[in-house]
Order: sequence, then structure tokens, then C-alpha cells
Amino acid sequence: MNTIQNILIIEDSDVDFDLICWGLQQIGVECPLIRGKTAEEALERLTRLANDPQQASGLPEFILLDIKMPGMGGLGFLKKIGQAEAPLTAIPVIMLSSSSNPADITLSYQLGAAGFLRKPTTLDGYAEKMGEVMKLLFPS
Amino acid sequence: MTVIVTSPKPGVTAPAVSADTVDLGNCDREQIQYIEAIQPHGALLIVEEPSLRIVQYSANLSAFLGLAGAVWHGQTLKQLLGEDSVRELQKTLTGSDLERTYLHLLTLSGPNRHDAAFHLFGNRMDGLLIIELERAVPNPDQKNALSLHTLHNALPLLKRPGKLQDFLQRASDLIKTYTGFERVMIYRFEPDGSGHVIAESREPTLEAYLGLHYPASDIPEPSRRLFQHRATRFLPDVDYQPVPLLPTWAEAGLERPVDLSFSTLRSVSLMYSVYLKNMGVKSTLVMPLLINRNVWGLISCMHHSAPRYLAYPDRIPAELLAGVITQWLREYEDGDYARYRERLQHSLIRQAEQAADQTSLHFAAEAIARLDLLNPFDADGVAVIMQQSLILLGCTPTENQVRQIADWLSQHSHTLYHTECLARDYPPAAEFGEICAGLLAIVLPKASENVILWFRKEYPQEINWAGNPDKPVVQSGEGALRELHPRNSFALWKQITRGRSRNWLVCELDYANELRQTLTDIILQRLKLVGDLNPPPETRQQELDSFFYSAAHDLREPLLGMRNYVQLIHREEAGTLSDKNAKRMDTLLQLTYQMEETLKSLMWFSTTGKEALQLETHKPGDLIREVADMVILAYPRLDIRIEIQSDMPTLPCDAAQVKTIYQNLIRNAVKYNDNETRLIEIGYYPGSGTPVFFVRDNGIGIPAEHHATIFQLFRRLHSSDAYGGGAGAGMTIVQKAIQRHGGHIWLDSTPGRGTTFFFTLTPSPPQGTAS
Repeated sequence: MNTIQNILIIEDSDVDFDLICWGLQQIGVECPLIRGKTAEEALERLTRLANDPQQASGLPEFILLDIKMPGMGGLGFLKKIGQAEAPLTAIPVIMLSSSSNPADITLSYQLGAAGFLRKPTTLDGYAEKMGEVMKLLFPS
Repeated sequence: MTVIVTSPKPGVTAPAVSADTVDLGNCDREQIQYIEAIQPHGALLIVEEPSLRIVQYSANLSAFLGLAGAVWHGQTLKQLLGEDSVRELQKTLTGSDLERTYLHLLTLSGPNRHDAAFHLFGNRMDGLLIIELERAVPNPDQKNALSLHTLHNALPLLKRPGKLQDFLQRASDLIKTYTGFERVMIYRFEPDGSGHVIAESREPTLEAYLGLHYPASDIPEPSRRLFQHRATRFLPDVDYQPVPLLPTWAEAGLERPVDLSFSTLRSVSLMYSVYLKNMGVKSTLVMPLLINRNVWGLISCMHHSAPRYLAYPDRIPAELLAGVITQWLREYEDGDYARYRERLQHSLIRQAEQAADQTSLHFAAEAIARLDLLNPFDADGVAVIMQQSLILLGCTPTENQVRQIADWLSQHSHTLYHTECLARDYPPAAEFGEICAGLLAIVLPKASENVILWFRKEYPQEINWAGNPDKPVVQSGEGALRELHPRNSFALWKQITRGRSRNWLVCELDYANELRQTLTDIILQRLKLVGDLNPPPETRQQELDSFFYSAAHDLREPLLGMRNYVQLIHREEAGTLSDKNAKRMDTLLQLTYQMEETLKSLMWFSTTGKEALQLETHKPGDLIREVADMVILAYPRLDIRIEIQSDMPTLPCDAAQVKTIYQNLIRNAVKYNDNETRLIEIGYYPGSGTPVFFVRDNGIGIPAEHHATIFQLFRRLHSSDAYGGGAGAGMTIVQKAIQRHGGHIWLDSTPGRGTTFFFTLTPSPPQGTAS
């Protein structure tokens, strides 16, 4: 876990971003947490990094992605990433949404999401949920 | 009395009508124009042209002219009247069109150069010349004779503006005054041939016939046709001895009897004379009122006390007067109609304005219902059904009957319907009796919801005959004909018109149709207006529900954020917070839970009840156990004992909703309980076909006055922080979930002892099947 360069968190809600960070801290994640406030902003950053070999090492270890956001939103982002070039398609994306709509879940997996997790409703839930994320990505 | 009836017209094989066989039913078969007889106050000749040879002549010819008896058949007019008279006659004949008209030809002195002179009248029929002779004697009763200057003076008085009825009354008064007849009646015919006495002037001692109606058979079609030809029918003495024509048509070598349609002297119908005799009439003079060759009506003059002979010069002013009346009649009739139409039109505009002033459909409908729809309209009653409300005015069937008519109308998609006999189209109307025979209805948009109906009584119910209806029928007359009497005619007419109303006029239909269009426009406009602003209630409820759901959903997210921050601060600053502020943070946390609870209830309400029930057969026992365990877990510090009956019945239900029901009931049983050990007993009674479930506790109980309030949304009996708080929606949710299953909930409670909630999850069996 310590080898994680950075994590990209695409989340429009300040509170939720804050709580996700808190949750990650609780389980011992210390790497830089980079925030994208919108899917567009995050996509632009990722594309810039991927196209510049000098900065390619700045690409995130994985992405935590909200669905409901202004603009293209989480599902739109997922679609763009799926159509992108090699280094970007390799980055795992985990959905973190308050949606329980089965269509959102199905579509997310169809678009290549590595996992779909419900946003916690309690504070402790955030720490637990981040633990699940790590287990999902790093089963060992 | 000699029976003077038909030799039937060749080709028509109707049985001969005699006094014994004639009745009102075969009146139409009596072909009176072929009667070969005349009245004795004149003489008649039928001659060939141009020879002027006499073919037939009335048997009284010699006596009438004061000549010695002779056989005139085969002789010429010259031999009868003399060369001079015939020369004069021929001059007139060449200058006159006598086809289908009857003219005065000349006045001549007798063959013996007597003082007594004769009037000669004539017309041509079937290629023969028919000549009538009448004595030119002055009327001995001179004071009544109309002179031209009195007629001239009378006319401006006659033609005063006003109603047709008043005009005809003045006309009959005038004719009575100037002809000296004891009774003058003006009849009016309806399109169906029936008629009634519309005006009458009579000597006070005579029985009144004003308002009397009689069926079409009373003045049979042949007679009415004859009136189209002849201006006047004159019968000076009803007891006259008919004078036969000599020889008979067959003996005279004719193919058939000569048509005497245009003859004044022609003998009258047996029917007619018997009718008059039964009425006690001795003499009549009848003049038709013709409009466009149609017989509009008749002026009938009658004399009761004695026969009355009105000489030709005295009949001329009466006939002229009848002609003038005919001319003006139309004007008065049109005037009546125009005034009525104007009245309807005027009220239509006012009514439309009243309804159009209203901005909402509701008020427009109310305004329409309040319109004065009876006053301007010639109907006996009106019913207005507007937006479910019903208003009855005047003489109408009952509310229920009116609604049924409206339903019937809307089923037949009539927009404008009218009938004189509703029972013919709508058999149930037979039960309404005389109240409602005629119906005029307009159906406004939204079918049976908006209907206006005008009712008209049965026609006979409207009649106010001036005669005494209780007076026994006079039984004079002969054989089968004794029934011929106005009183019987009236009775027959009443029988024929039973269940029928007067006809609706064109202007009434126009009015109704225009009113329908105007009101339809107003209603549609209001509907559209209302539709734009206020969708139908179902849509409004749906929109409200979805608004509640998204509002609750969107409020919940920031609420969760707030709660998490509160927890975060509380946790990270645990050491630095003062006790007071630490407690405040706790309260803040509790408030978020309370608010979340309320939001959840809102979301539950806005979705549950809209989705279809997922009915599957469940063992409620399993569901209850699951819920009970959850509640016990939620209150780890309390001593809770939940006993669940082991043999709970299985039944089709929605598992999620049943869980909600028990979750709320058990939680309430735990919350509203001060006992050390909270006892909750869950079970059921088999009931009468429907199992009755119950949840019993040993809690604080609910006072009887609150038994209804507890089911109201967000109503709580205790302060929000007492007894563990809550949104105040639990029991409402329970009730709604139960109602969705078709069941119902009730309770039994003793304050301080405990409460038992009972409920069913299936509709109760219909009453009477319960054992």
C-alpha cells in the first residue's frame, strides 16, 4: 500500500471528498489524494499526464468516481476512459455513489468499472468502505 | 231524412257510406264532391258547351224560376232563360276563366220579366259548365249588413298591433257584428290536421267552445281539400231537404258524377249536418283562411235559434273581410313568432354574458346553473345538470329520473335532442305521466355531467277549454252518428294526443342550439384554462409525490454530511470540547437522526402506495421474527420480551410492507412503555374468514380520545424527545400499508395497562357471509 503513488478522487461534494479522505487516512493510506471536482477536469488532467512521458508517472494508482455530478458525470467519464489509449485504460476505476439504481450499477460494470460501492451513511462507514476498496484492489 | 251520400268515384271501390255505417273513422272515404244533390235555396244546371244543352239540372229548377214543370234534360239554356239573357251570359263566359274558379256571371230578371231577379254563378269542371242560380232578394235583417263604409271604418281598429290571438278575437267579434250570426268561431289547423278554436264570439246563452280541440278526423281530408277550392260554404238551413240532380249521371250519359267541388249549393256531408244538428246549430257560413293555398284555419259562423239566410250581396263583405283577415293573419303570426324569437335571443345574450363573466369552470358552471332558463322559454319545466349539481325548475320529473334521461342522452351522443313524445324514444318516460311528454335537451361537453333539459307537459294538460268539461254529452242525432259532437271530438282528440306535447318551434330549437354552442365554448375555454393551471387531481398528486420524494432525497444527502461532520468534530476534538459543547454536539447528532427519520417517512409515503403490491405467500411468523430481532438489537439496554404465536397463518402479502407494519408496531410497543420488562405478544385470531392479527403490549396505553389522532401523519401524542422521539409517521405508515392490502386496523387500549392493535390483511368478507 505504501507503493501507491497517488489516488484520484472525482467527487463534486466537498463534504464527501473530505470524508473519503478521512476514511482513507483511518485505514492508513498516506499517499497524495488528488481531487477532481468535475469529470471534465479529471479527464483533462489524466489526458495531459498520459500524453507527456515526463509526467506519466503522475498517473493515479486508481480512481474513486462519483456518478451524480454536474457535466458529463461519472458514467460519461467512464465511457471516455474506456475509449482512451493504453496507459489510461489500465487504471482501475471504482464507483462510489449514493445511487442504488440497478441500471447505474449494470452500466458501470459494462463500461469497465472495477467495482461499485455504495456511499456510507455513517462516519465509521467511510473507514469501513475504504477498507473494502483496498481489499478489492489489493486482495493480498 | 234522405241519405245524401256518395256514388263512389269510378275506380274507387269504397263501400257506400250511409247513416248506419258512417262514423268518424270512415269520414275520409265520403267523397262529398260527387254528391248529386244540392241545397234548396238555389238551383243548378250542368250544360255542355258550346251548344249550351242542359245535361243535368236540379229537380227544383222549374219551381225556382217560377216556370211550369218540364223535363229540361236535352233542352238548351236559350229555351230556359231566353235569348237575351243567354247572349249576355255568353259575353261574360268568353271573357272569364272559369276553370277551377267560381265566379258571379251576371244578375238577371226572371223569364217572365218578374221583379224578382237571379244571380248566376258558374265554373267549368270536366269540360262542362256548371251554373248556379240564387235569388237576388235583399236580406230582411238589413241592420246587420256590412256596408262598404262601415267595413272601411272597422279595418283600422282590426289592425291594431299586438298578438295574433287578440287580432283573431277582434276579427271574430267584427264578423259576428256584421253577419248577425249568433256564434263566430275561428279554428286553427295544426300540421297533423287536428285543430282548435282559437277565437270565439257568441251570444252569452250559448255554450263556449273556445279552446276546444278536435282530432283530424273531425274535418276530414276531403273537406279540407274542398276548402282550398271554394271560398265559402253556406248552409242556411241544416234541416234542408236536398234536391237531387235530374237525371242521374248514368242516365244523362256521363262517365261519372260531375265534380261539384266549386259549387256553393252542393249538398253537404251527412257527417257535417249531423254534427251541426248534434250541436244544436241551424245554419252555418264557413269561410276558409287560406295561406299559400293551404287551409290555415276556418271562420265558422253559426246560428242556433233559427235557419239564417244571408243573401249574396250580404255575403260579399264577410268574404272580403275573411280575405283581409287572411292577409293580416300572416303578419300577426310572424309578429308573435318574431317577438318570441327576439325574447329568446335577448335572454340568450344575457345568459351567455352571465356565464362568460366567470373566470373558472366551477363558477361558470354555477352561473349556468343559475341562469333563468325557464322564464323566457315556453316550457313547463327545466332541469340543469352542471358539474354534478342538479337544479330543477317548474314541472319536471324527479332528480333521479332526470339523471337517467341525461345518461340516456349521453349514451346516444345527442348534442341537441327534441321530441314531442319522449316515451316513444325512451320507454321509461311513460312513467312520468302527463308531466313530461315533450323534451328538448342540449348536451354540453363532458356528456352526462352537463345537460340542460326543457320539459313540456302532455298537450291535453295544457288546454283550458272555455266549455264545461263536466257537462254530459248531448245524445241527440241518429244511429251511429249521435256520437258526432264537439265534446266527443275533444275527448277523442285528448285520447289521440295522450303522451304528446305541443311541437317545439324552429326558433326554440335555434335558441337551444345557440345556447349549447355558447355554453360549450365557455366550458371548453374554462376547461383549457383550468387544465393549464391545475392538472387533474391524480396528476397533481403524482407531481406532489415526486416532489416530496426528491425533496426528501436531496435533503437527506446534506443531512448525512452534517451528521458525519458532527461525529468527526466530536471525535477529533473530544479532548478540547467543553462538557457543555460536547452535550450540544450530542443533541445536534440526535436532531439529524430525527430529521432523517422524517425524511424517510416522506420518501416512504411518496413511493409506497404508488407501486404495485408484491403479493407472495409468506409465513408472517418468519417475517415477524426477523423484525423483532432487529428491534431488540436497536435497544440493547432494554429488557424486551416478544412472544410470537407459533402457528401464524400463511397468506399472500407484500413482505416488505408486512415487515414495515410489524417494525413500527413493535417499536412503538417498546418505546411507549415504562415497564422494567416490555412484554409484547404477537398473534392472530382466525376471525370469520379473515384472520385478525394483533400486537399487544403492556405499555402506557392510549386514551380513547386519541385513537383516531394516532393515525394522522406527523401527529404525535408526546413531545418529540419523550419516549425516544420519532417522526410521528409510524402509525400512518402502518395504516397505509394495511389499507393497501385491503385490510383495516383498530385498537383496544387501557391507559396505564397497555394497548392491543388489531388488523387484517385481506378485505373483509361481505356482510352476511360471516358466521
